[in-house]
Amino acid sequence: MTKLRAWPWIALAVVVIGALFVATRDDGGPTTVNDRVRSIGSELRCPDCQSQSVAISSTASARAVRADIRRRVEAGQSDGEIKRAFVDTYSESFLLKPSGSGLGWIVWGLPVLAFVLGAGGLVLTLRRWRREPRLIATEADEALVAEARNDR
Amino acid sequence: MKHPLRWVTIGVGSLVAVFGIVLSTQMGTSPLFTGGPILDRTAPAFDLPILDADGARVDISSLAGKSVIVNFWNSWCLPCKEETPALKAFWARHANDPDFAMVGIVRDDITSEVRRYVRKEGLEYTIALDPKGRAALAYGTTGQPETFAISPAGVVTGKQLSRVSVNDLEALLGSARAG
Amino acid sequence: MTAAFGVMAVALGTSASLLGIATLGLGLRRKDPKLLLLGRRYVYALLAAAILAVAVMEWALISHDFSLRYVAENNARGTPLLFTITGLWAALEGSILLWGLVLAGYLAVMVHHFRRRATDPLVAWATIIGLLVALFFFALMLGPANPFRVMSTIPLDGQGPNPLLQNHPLMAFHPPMLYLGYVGFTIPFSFAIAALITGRFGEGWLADTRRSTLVAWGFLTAGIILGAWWSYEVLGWGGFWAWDPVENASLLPWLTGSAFIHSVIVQERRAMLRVWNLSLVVATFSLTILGTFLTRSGVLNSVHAFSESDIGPWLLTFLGIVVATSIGLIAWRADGLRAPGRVDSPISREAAFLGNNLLFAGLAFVVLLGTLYPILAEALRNQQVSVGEPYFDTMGTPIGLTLLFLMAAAPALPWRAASGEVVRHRLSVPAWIGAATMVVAVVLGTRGLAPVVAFGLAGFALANITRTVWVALRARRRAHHEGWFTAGRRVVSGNPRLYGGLIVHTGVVLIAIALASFETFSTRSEVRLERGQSTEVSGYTVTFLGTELDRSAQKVTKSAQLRLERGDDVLGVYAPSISSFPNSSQGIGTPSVRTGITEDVYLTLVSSPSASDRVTIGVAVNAMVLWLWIGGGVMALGTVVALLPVRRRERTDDEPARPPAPPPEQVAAVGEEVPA
Repeated sequence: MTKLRAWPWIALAVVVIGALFVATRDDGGPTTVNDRVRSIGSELRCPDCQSQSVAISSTASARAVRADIRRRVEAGQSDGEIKRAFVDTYSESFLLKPSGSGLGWIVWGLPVLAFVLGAGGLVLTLRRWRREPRLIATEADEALVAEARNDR
Repeated sequence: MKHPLRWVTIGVGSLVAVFGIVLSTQMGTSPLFTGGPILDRTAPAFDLPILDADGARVDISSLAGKSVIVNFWNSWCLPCKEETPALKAFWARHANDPDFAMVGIVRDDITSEVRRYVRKEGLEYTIALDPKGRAALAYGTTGQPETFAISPAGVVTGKQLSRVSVNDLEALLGSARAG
Repeated sequence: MTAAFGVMAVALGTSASLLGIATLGLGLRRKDPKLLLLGRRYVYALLAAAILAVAVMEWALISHDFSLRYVAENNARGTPLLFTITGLWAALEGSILLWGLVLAGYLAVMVHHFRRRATDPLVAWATIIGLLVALFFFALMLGPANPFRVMSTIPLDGQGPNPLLQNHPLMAFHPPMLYLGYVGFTIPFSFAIAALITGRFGEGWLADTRRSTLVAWGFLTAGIILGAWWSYEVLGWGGFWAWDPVENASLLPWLTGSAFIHSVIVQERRAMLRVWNLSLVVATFSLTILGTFLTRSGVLNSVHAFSESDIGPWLLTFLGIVVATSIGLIAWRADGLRAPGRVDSPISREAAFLGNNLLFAGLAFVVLLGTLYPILAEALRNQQVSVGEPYFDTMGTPIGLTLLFLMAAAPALPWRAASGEVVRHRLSVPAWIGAATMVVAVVLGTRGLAPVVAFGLAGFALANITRTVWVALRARRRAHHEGWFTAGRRVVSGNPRLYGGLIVHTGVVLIAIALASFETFSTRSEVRLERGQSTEVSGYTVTFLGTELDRSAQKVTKSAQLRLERGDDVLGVYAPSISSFPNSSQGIGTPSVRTGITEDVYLTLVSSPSASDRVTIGVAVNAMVLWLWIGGGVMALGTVVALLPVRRRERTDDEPARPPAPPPEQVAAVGEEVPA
């Protein structure tokens, strides 16, 4: 095998990481009032919808909630306080992201566990296949085949 | 190596069976519409204009000391129309009671339509307008009609999220008087 | 009278299924080929019965026969003809009827396709299983889901369909397309069970069902895309996927079906993954039944669950029987299913397919868990929780991006094993193009890890697909001195599976680009305007001209007339509206969308104007939405290409004549990868 020319690949990695770095540079999260209303609203279920968030629903109650969030944002409340106020009025079932505590481990933890097990199993199986010797015909096998051929 | 496969199959089968049993116990229940946890809390404040009253308003402090029935409704919702006779009859029964107040709060509606409905049905109790839905939000409503009972001390003692009958209203009033 | 005809047709269908099962079963027991040949004819009788039942229902709908409860509840005299016809699938009982028709159609095609192998036990068993499924659905229609129930008093006019269902002609296509997908998976399922029962679980049943699996998957893809289109164009909330339980129900079999399409190729080549493939097929079919259960039983609330009914227990029982029997059969045959196949190297296309399956299965697990978790929480702890978009986004995006990466890299990976050097050489140019795409995206303003990675992978994928096609074309042209077009045709028809798959992948890439752009570059705002007032959003000027009221027998529609301009161009007058229907309480909003190549202007009427001089409108400028639909179309095109027959090798002048290639049914023909 010829020597791996690493330089082009290192350069590639630098470019990719650089682009990602620029893209994810934290500018403090959503800054404008609108952005904050949208981001908080996207985690709250609209009161008379099935699963739509307050941020995207166009029902009257969703508009009322958005207006309320806006008032609270302008009054300086934090995201957590606003969400808690909403949950106080409406109960946990109106959060679109189920909490991680209590039963929440089922919905947050199980998939991760399943993935770890699945990926681990896959890697282990691939390793085992590489380690096991390939099937090679032994001389006894060759003799058997020759015999069968002659029998025909 | 047949044993691992058998165990995996049995394991998967059991999981699926558990899921299935859980699913079957939940049939027929509507999981998401029991409303917010407002019972036994201080009634949220509201301050709303009254329909066709030249700027007069109704607010929660003016109702202190009375047993109050608050009914969220509007003119186009079908169950609201169905419960109107019950509301009228209930109001007629208790209208002269000085320790009793009843407020109907309308949201997500057109004022002219509300006016037309109130006139047609002859609703005589206080009708307040909540065009921005702030009171509805404060009370944690998820639709209409929803009816709440508030005690003289200002605590929410009862709520009903479906259309009410006269008996339902009496029960709500009873809870307010007791609480 | 009509009801009697309808019930009779359903009864005919039920008895045809029963008789078919009995005859075929007896024929198998006695090894009597005459009985087997007779038994399959009952499938045609089933089809005739299903057509008759549907015809009766359509006749009742079109003639507004309100003596039937289904017609009274889903049709009115004022309902336009198109929505009268589509009323067949407007509610539960009609949907089951449609399911029965589609299933009977698929079974008839299957029986006809395998007519020369009618005495083959595998085919006979598959027909029996298919008929058993049909028996269930037809029996449902005789009992709890009877579409031909009669009204005790005949109303003068019907209620009409739900307003959301008569808003848009797309209603005509979305459900039937979805059903063609769902029901289509019954065929591979039937063959899988037949393979388990007969012990012939080698690769034969895969070859037999390859086409039907692709067809079902293609229709399901189209159905899901159409559903998203409908959500966007008709429902007016400005998005196309809400992670609604019923939407998830259609996504789940698509995910497992996609995994299956890939892992089937591994089984064909290496005779491995037998248990996994059988499980995938069973899972896909079970998920279609589960989906129907979730949609129709009222267990989960959804914008689709218009009516609750008591078929929940029946569906759940059927699902339980299906899953228990399948798992039992697999466990019973477990010994014979172990295959000696193996994957040689982690850098091979087989390994990529294995990874792809892990990811698809994982994503299906996430979606299933998220959809069922509210029920679980209610059952176990009496807690009420919701699981919405934030959850699926958080869990699903990493999986989706990894899938995109595998999809992008796979065409460069050879079968069996590769040296890292070969792969690196093949991937170097596409990798640079991917990196360049990332940089361009960042420069254009993309922020956030997921969109930038998505853009990069999209570039990488497109470059790799182009490289693969280019290499094949170049080799072909050199060998046969053909023009580009001829070479292209020959290359594709030499291996339609590969190139069809590449076209489908291209469609996926377009969708990924569209999704990433939509997330990044769209703007949304709400604004209140007086008559004559304008607002500017993202370079567009929207002027409120006035409102209009339109009354018809069917509905009352208030619309806001908005003039849209960009710079000096007047793009037109758009009219988002809110309609009220007499028998429904709420107004249904309809958006008005100006579709453009790179962006849509999405106008909605937020509040129904009381005074006609003031409105609140929503103005959204959505990026690249058109490419979602184009991507869907490309995926459908790719599926069609993948279904094309393989071109047999033609003679060239300097080759001696060879014996003809074996008939396609027996050999899973796969083309050869042209070396780089």
